[in-house]
Amino acid sequence: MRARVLALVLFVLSGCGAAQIRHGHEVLNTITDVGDPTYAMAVDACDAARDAIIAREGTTYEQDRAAMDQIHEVCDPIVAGFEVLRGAQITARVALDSGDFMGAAAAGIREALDLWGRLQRLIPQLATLGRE
Amino acid sequence: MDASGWVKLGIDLLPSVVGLVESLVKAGHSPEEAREIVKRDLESRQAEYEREKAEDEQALGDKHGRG
Repeated sequence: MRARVLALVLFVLSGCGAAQIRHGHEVLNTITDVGDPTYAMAVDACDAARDAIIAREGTTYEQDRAAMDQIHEVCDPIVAGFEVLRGAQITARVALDSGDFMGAAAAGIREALDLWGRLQRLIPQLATLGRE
Repeated sequence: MDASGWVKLGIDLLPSVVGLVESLVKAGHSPEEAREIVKRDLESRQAEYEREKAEDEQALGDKHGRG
């Protein structure tokens, strides 16, 4: 995916007019194609991890509280990150369609890619949920 | 998601969606194209996440008699 996105970004930044706008949207759509199911998976994984804490038996409130807080520490930044990414996507699309593809749109696409890169580094933390 | 959750989500999303559709139509896209582009943005799941988190916090309190 990364190579495809980088190729599209290069095209967007070097091209002109309608093609830039169209390919800018393609970059953002590619992020959606991968990011949307990842976001859904993250929310489901966080819910499942919390449910496991509630369902387990033989633990004290303090143990469960600590485990729940640990889940929040992993999940809250991921959800917040996806929401910021979503905002960057929408901002970039508006800028693209206003014709500002070398300024705000290019900056928005770069920001969205940067955010997606940061989220990709956070997502693996979901695999640690429930481990003690 | 229950009805109140959908309503809250709709209220949260409506201004940005309406603004985006308007800007796309002004930029020369047909309403159908604009809707297709909007549809492909990431879906907000924050309301769903916060609701489930609050429910599970309540369940944790109930489990230990602290609800």
